[in-house]
Amino acid sequence: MNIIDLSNKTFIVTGAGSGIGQETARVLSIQGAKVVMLDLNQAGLDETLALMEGTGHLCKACDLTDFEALPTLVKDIMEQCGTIDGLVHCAGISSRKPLNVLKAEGFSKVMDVNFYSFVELVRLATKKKYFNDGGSIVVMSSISSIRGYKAKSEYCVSKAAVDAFVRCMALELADRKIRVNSVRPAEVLTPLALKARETNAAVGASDFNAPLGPSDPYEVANTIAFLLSDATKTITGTSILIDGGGCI
Amino acid sequence: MTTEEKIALLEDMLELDNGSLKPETVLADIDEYDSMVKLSLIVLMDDECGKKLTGEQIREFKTVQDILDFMG
Repeated sequence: MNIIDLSNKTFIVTGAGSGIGQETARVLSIQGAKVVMLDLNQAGLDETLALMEGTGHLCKACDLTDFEALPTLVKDIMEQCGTIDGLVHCAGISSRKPLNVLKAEGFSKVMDVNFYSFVELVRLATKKKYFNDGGSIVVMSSISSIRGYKAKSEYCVSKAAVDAFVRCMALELADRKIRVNSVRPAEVLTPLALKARETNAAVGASDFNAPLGPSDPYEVANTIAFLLSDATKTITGTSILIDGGGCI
Repeated sequence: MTTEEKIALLEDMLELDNGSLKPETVLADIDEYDSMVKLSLIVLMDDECGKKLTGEQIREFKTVQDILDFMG
């Protein structure tokens, strides 16, 4: 028996063109789900689609920070899919800015992608006509939401906002048995993280070192699949650490 | 941007008094030139000059003049 059986379910995955989003889309398809993949990068979506199992998946290249266009995007998706069983928000950007170069506009850019686009998607996609009761929502948080790092204010703030929103939505959507959770990885071996390591080495900044080392994208994707599945019906409003023991 | 304006930007970022930096100043001799300043330099180049500065390029900077040359 497969406890993470996602067959006959449909999920939206943002940031599906690369990294954790790509791996999440792939893992969900292996578990039998149909996946609606969103990303800025069409080439990335094409690459992800080639990795998927099963049929009936959908790709849409879009800018999630174009808030005026999001209602039409969600409407189009639902016209093609009927209803959905869950949403996974993996789209995100990072930033490295010490205090002396911090500006409000920089915060806005990071918050738009990491937080406000998620808020808008949750608001639009969870309408009763679109989102099945008993569904599940998962968003990428980070250990940056609970720890401080030099030069990562924008990113840390955005992820803390995500987790606060998760707790509120878990309560607001509980009547419909819709669960809302986040995952909090530390370092995940994505192209973006490897580039950050290079920059750290060049400028002499320290890396995150966990007892079990960095995680692979599939570990995060597997955790997301678990949270989306019917294996759990009461985990909500929380965040699961995937940190290699780094927060011990 | 003139050379003087570029140097003023760098002095401001490093929180140094006006006139502290010369083109020939060796970066390794500046106490304030640490990892956080190097990260700030990446942002400054993007914001003020529209140029993407990599960690590898920062490693190659030896003097203030090298940064001025990158700023163009």
